[in-house]
Amino acid sequence: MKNTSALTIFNTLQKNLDWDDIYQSTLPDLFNYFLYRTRDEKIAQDLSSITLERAWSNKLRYRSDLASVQSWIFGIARNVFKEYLREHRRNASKLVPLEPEDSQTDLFDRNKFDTKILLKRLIAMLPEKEQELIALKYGAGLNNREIAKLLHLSESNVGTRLFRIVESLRKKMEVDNE
Amino acid sequence: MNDNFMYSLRQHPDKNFSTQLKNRLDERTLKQAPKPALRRARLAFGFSVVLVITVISMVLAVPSVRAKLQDLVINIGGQGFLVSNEHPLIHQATTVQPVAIPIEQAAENGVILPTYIPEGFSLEQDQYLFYHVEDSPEGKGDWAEVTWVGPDYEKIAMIVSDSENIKVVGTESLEEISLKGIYPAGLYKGGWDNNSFAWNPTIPFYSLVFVKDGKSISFIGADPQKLILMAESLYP
Repeated sequence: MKNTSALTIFNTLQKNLDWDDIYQSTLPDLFNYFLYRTRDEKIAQDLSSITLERAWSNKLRYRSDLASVQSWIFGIARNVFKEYLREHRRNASKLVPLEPEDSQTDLFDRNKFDTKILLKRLIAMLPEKEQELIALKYGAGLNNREIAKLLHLSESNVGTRLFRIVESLRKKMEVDNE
Repeated sequence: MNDNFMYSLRQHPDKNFSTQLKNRLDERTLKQAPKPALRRARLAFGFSVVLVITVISMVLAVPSVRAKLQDLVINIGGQGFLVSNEHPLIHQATTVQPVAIPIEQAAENGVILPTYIPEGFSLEQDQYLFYHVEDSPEGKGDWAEVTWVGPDYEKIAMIVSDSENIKVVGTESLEEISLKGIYPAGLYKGGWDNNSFAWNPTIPFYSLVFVKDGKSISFIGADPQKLILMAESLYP
């Protein structure tokens, strides 16, 4: 009979992962993923909490042979965001205010204009799939290969799409700032 | 491509938020961690002991007892779990002689085998064991038991029984998980010690229990990951 303690088995399953390190390295990227998706700090905090609590509850289910911890957590994050969108489907188009109401009228006032606000607004106007690509790349900080795996796309396809989106955004920002 | 401006929206998470969330996750981890006593646990307890204990605990189908305890029973996906420190059948155990049935007949008798078997494991015998209990002080019911054996004689058992049977498990040992992210199942460590009639959380075996197609299915073994994968392979 094999003489191994259950604790050893448990630890082997966890592949000696340091979940404190995982928390420290993942939270900023996760928070920014949701920030790019919702453009609201409080909602980004809530969705980050839901994602990490769900991940921590399912530590036993994590399989290092299938994905990196980061990819696994962002897989959960994307499901959390889909659930959030479903719940707020009717109000999805006005998910969050982009800026205070009184600043809306100043949107094209060059003196008061903030390039960050413009970028937020331009991202919010992108199609859903393009917003997701932007959030994964610049919010979550994933590389093209990791994004390709998450979205079931080829790496070159991800690169091409991102290039076009970013170029398009850059031109729009240049035009608006002229 | 200069895309630095695309990172300009990034910001650091609020420190208070980060600290509070970390504290919540740490509390969760503490609840999930194996008890310290588990360090001393050894498989010397023997797989058969656990099986016998499990089988006995499965027979708690006494309607009168169930009625009294209904409000204490936790329901996970149709499977009842009574969380208790009291042995389910003190001095009332009934010895049941199983009937060995060829494994080829398992499916037609409602015993569907998992399509995933861990590497190095194979059926212990080309037959499965069928237990039938008529009316007895403990209750009644049918259950089937299939056992796989792997490297170093590591064993995994699957038990199929009526879903009306309630599992009696020790306090703080039960955890709810999802199979394939959808189907709820109960996972717990340890078992009832037949000698002391007490719940023994140091018995180094896990039980994964869930209801599928009206049957209660249990996978029992030392490695919860293997149990989960076998259980998930029962679903399309």
